[in-house]
Amino acid sequence: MEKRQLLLDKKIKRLEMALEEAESLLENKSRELYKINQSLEEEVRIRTHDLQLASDQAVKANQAKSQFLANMSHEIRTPLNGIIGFVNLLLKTQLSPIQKEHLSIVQRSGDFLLQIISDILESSKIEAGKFQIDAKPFHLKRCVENLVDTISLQAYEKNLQFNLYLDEGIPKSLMGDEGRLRQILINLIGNAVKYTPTGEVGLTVTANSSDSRNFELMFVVHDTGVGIPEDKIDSVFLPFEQADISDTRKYGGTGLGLTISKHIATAMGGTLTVKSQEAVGTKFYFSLRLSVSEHETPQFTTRNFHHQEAVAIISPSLSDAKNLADRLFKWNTIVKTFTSVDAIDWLFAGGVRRNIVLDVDDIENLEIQLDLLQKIHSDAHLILISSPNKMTAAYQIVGDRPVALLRKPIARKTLFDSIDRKHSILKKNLELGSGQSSAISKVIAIAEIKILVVEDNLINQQLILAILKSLGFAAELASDGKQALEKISNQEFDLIFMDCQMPVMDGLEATKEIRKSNADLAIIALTANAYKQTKEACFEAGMTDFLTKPVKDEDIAMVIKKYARPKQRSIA
Amino acid sequence: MKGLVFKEFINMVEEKFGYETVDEIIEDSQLASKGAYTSVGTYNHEEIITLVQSLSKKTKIPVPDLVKEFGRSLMPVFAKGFPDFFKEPNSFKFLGSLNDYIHVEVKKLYPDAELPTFVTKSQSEKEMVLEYHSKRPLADLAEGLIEALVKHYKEDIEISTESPPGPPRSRTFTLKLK
Repeated sequence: MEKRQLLLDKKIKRLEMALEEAESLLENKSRELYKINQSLEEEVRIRTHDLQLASDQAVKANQAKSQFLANMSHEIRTPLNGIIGFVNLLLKTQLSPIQKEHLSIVQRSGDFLLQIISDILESSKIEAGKFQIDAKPFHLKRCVENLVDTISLQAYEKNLQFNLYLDEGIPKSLMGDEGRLRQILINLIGNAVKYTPTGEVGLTVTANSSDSRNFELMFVVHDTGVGIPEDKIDSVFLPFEQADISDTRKYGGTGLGLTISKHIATAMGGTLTVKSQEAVGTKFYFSLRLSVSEHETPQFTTRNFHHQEAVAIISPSLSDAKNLADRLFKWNTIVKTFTSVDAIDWLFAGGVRRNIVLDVDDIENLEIQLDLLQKIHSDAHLILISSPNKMTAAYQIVGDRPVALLRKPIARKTLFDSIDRKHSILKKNLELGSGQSSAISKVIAIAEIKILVVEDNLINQQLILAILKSLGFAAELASDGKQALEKISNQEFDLIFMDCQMPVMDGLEATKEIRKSNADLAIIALTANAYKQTKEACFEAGMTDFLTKPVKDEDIAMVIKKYARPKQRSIA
Repeated sequence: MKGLVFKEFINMVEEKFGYETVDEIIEDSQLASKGAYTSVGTYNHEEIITLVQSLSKKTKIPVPDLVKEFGRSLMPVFAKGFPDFFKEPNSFKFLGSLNDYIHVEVKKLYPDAELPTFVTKSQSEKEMVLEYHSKRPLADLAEGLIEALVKHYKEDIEISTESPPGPPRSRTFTLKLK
């Protein structure tokens, strides 16, 4: 019994010792863990700090990149605006048709370059989340025709056919962001032309409406180009993704166009999709819902000629002829298409005016053919249509003949007016950029108006002075806000054109200073962009109105007419 | 050597021979630890060898048999204490993962643990040849453990062994699935 007790005591003693040891081990382990935990926390703190630094640096680098892009595009835009502005002025002087044609190409190239720069700036804005859609009433058909008039030149230069089809059901005035719409279409058509070596490029616009106020518009840009490989089709809307890396060198461009277009399309509540077949062609579908602008009631007036017209279309291109014929049918004309001049055989009842639309692009011996047509069909009104790149040659052959010469693609209004004989001889159509001078001539130069131009860039100074001179005005110059304040303190002005970004004192600050003592003086801001923030900043500073660079003479004329109020001055 | 092993050894001796025998072999052995073992402690492996020799002397059972039996009784303790290591579906897979997975994890848990190596010399669906190497003469412990492992997985496997002469620090096990 005693022995058992002794054994038990020994067992308990051993267990107690073991427990004691276990506790001490546990305590040591806890301390060890605490220390490890401390060092881990320290490590986490250091790493978090490093990560924060890296993240800050990345954000800063990205901001610096965006700022750099913005600065660069501003720096490039300033001289470019000088080029475009002076070309526009030059186009209004006495020039030979060839000079005009060449100069208009300079003008378009300048505009195109401006577009590329805007693309880069735009994508950096998208990246920064600064992007806006500005819906206003606009004339969709006119917008599309004007745009196609310019951009189709690129197609004709590559000897491609350009087809434009506009649904007659498109209402006149719609609410939307015209600039953004143009941006998308220019991009899509530009791409189509770029990737199409032969064949045709076209734009089809159709409208569908369920309630006559809201319209589902579908823009389809198609081409017969190289197409997009199946495995690349999903990535065409990603930034800097051209179907092939080597494309960048082969086709040029920033690789941002489709990304921006898709972004804009989405921001407008529309969709942009693509279908393509390699070596067959590509179709981009851009659909958009727009409503009729509130001030307008939807109009679907069909045009009607003053006389019953009959038109013979002579064109080797079937699609061109069909397009024209479709349009003419809708205007209730009698239409017949022929593939060559010799084929014409037509007899119509009396009282019908006869017209011949002749596609001169692929016609040989045009002079002889014209002589022939004029002799046999002396009563017919002859309308020649030509690709822009063949206009000069056609113009020389036409000489003094009483025929109309229209540039492809033919705008509906131009074709209508031509057949309707609104202009007896439509050579006017040759004047590229026509219709610009009307607003200007109406401005009566009031010699008494004192104008001050505040602008730091020498070229821009020259440009605005040249425009003012062409309108019959002289002006004083100041190179920055401070100089402007000095001039104003010495003499009275009726109107100030104020650049926003200038050294020493910028336009906004100068305007605020002027407003302290002069509330009435018209101050017109000259801004590099038309963004909302810029506009708001201008008005906040007290500007009367603003113009976006590159300034155009009609804008200057409009502003002077609207705001300049010469005061009675005593002659010193 | 980990305290768990000592504690289990003491438990086995108590269960099979009574605490009197436990007390006697502890007293006989004159241990540094005084026989107070906790499973979280670490003790000199010589102590277990001394204890086994003492037990053998007392019970007249040869040392290898005692060590092997201890290995057999240790396996269920491992299986219960470390179920994560027993997720392998059979003995071959378990033994195959011993060096590269189980012992790696054991090292993480007990950085001061000194573990033997098990090298797979060949393996097929039916047969596995495994080599045991240790600094300690405990090949019999490994053999008992492997026998119990096969039992744990309820497999019908024949185990044959081959040992070089000298203290049992190495052994080749051939496992044949019947």
